[in-house]
Amino acid sequence: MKGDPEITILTNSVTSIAGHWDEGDPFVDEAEIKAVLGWEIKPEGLCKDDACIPVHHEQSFKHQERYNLHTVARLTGRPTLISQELKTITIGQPAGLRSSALKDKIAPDFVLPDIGGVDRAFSDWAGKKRLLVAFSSW
Amino acid sequence: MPGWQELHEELQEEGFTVIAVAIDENLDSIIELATGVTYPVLMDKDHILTELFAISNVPSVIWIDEDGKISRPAASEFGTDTFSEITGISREAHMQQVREWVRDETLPEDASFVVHDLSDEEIQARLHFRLAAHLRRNNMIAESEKHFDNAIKLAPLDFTISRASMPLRGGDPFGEEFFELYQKYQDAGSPFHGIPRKRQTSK
Repeated sequence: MKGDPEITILTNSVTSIAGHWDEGDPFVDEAEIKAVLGWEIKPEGLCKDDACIPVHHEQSFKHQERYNLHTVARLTGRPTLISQELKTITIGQPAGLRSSALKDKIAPDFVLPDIGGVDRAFSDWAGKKRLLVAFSSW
Repeated sequence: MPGWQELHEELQEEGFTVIAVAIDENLDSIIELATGVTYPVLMDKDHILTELFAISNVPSVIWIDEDGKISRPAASEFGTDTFSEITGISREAHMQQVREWVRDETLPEDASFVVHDLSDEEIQARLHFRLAAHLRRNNMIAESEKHFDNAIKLAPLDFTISRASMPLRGGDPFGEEFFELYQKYQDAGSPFHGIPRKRQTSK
């Protein structure tokens, strides 16, 4: 089953892992589902902290002992762009985080490198009033 | 950046900081822009923030309080008055509002504005842009071009897509291409994810 990396996943980082494709969807090992999306596969379904999403209605959730990354992303509220030709799946941010930001005014936390290359979390500056300035050189 | 530096220095002893995030992958240019800056400057080469906060242009400025609540959603605000003749936005009114927020917890009326969510097309455009930028970094130029085209087709007036892609594809984000985009944007009524700007009636 294990071979060379066959699937590239673009999330907040880039990872290439072993997997296979079936009917246009990427299938990966159980451990990768947790590593990539933070959700665990349990008898109750997809679980994170105390929350579980049932999966028994899903048609093509499992194939050859691997799990459908596209389905897991969709069930956990993350948009995807799949290119089987490029063997790549691009996974966007959870829609719920943006919705909380816009409607409930809860700022989502994020981690990005500073210009010295050191990863920083926005929450590192919790306790201060923060003026978040999105800018660019273009 | 120097304008935000002045505000940062003025208010940093009062529980305030500026945090700048570059929606950009050109580290050298950002380091140059950040000369003399003492507040944090982060690099968001994959435009994570534009998806998390529904940002469609720069600069977009968001106020976030001590507890992580958004006190005022995204608005076009400037650290300098360099572009104020074009944009009709002067820096000082906003900076005074920031002082009042930091010192007196006072919020301007427009702080309760609710920014509209991204459309499915705008979300997909961000994924195509992300993939295109990744392919370009791996020298897969033809494939990259295809996904840049898809992104722009889906969100033609989103500057974080259309304008941000210009330097990545060898174009000039301050040239003719940009002015054409800006004209189309204005003709469409300046669609923007953020607090709408009451245009000052000046020439």
